Amino acid sequence: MSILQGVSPAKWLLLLWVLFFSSTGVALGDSNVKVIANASVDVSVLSPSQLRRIFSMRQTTWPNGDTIRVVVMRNDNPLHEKLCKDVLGVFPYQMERQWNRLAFSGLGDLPVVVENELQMLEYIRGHRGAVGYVTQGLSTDELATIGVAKDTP
Amino acid sequence: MRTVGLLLCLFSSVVHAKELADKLSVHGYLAQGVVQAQDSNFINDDGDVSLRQTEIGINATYRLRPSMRLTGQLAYINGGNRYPEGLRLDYLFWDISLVNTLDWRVNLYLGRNKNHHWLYSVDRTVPQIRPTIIPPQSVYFDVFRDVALSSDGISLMAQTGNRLGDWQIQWSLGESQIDRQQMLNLLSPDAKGSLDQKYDHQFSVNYRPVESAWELGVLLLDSKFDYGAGEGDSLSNGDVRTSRLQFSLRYNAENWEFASELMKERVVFEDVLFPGFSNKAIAEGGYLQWRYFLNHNMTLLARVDVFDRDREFRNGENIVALSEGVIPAYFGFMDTATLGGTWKFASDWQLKAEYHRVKGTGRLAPVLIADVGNNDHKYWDIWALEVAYWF
Repeated sequence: MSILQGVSPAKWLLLLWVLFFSSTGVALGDSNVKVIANASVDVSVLSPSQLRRIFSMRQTTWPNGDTIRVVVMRNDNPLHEKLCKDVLGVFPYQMERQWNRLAFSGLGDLPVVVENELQMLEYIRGHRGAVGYVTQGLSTDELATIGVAKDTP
Repeated sequence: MRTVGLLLCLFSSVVHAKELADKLSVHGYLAQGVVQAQDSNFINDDGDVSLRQTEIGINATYRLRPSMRLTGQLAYINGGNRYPEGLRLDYLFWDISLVNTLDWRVNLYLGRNKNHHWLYSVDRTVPQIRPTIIPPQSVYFDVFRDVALSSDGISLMAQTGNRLGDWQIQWSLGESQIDRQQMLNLLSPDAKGSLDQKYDHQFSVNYRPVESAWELGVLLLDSKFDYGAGEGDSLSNGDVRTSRLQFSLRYNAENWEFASELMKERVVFEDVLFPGFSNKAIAEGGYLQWRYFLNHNMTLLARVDVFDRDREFRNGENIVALSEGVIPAYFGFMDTATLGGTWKFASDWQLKAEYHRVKGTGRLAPVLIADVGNNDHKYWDIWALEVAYWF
């Protein structure tokens, strides 16, 4: 006998409807994370949705045709956590899952992983199309800064 | 002069090597488990502890140009009675970017395309991201793994984000190759013919509302198989048609995650068992799964999975009647409770452990002619451990 007996589809749908509209996800907040990119990147503002597609490796080229090289820090790095939650609106484990799904299904690749902000700056400076993040206020001469739009276009 | 020439060749090789390194990416994984499924033929016929839980995969992607990539994966798997042991081409396809802007991405995939429609259809073959070693059999029937994993054909995927949220819309049409061992697993060990999938047609929409923890998905699937009887075959020429409607949802919280897929599948047999045989059944099944993240490296899991082969006869009484009492009713369903855990003890290594308590044998091989001899227990269990490495 199955537990499916006795529960009508209407009740399941009502339960889902209540859960759907009563829960919220990660609230995007003011963050001390600055999204930076190689000087070759000619984009100055992106929405959270666009940044999410870029950092989750689903968006692979910039408008100028350059390949997007995503640079991130490890899951347990507080700055990476801030990027995910405050800027992208997801949790680090969601990003990691998405990277692995793409890399092991042929639809994408893994991002470059660095250990700290120094390595982040060095990699982005030296690779065309690279994008990453550092703490607000950190000097990022010669690099492009990408602002985060409040509203999705 | 010769020295200059050699230097030029070396320089050229370095440049080409750098270009190649830039355009080529290679990844892979190795996973070895130990598993036991007592009182059933899920892994082996004797129910003993087994090492038949091995997966080795290597994939490569070559980016010809920003809008075109060639990608493929070879895998060796050994899963005991669930699927044929050996090497297989999991996927090999051209990825052609038709639209690639900051707001829209539309890709065309040609070749052997991996199934991206279901919540875990990609994850099930990737040891480091799948929630459990053994997936919920209601939706991810292991005997059907190779058929459901990928298909030879065409696929279109569109991704976008707007004020409502993030969307992924996908359509695919293809067919999977079914080899002899798979056919025996699906139908009967005595089958002497051939089973061909004529088509596998899927359409799915996945949606994540803006600033929401929810992800929702809906899938439509239509597929047809033809069986051609062989000489001296106990089965006859016929066909099988399956149509599935499936919903998925996932809730992502900071320290836990809830996922579920529910499916309704109409399966129609025409002949096959014998000339004139006709059977239509609507199967229903699904699972509810919770994962709790103790920290970045340790996860606990609990899951309930249910499957009824025919919603009109959830207790399997029709099977008893059809077989004149030969096949027990518990072949009509399979309900499973699972507890498990994952420990990522190094950046590229992890250990998984899980236990499944099962009622029923509705999702064991072979599908058409039940193996009553080796599945003579209504209640049985599985435990499994697996170490995985990836790069």
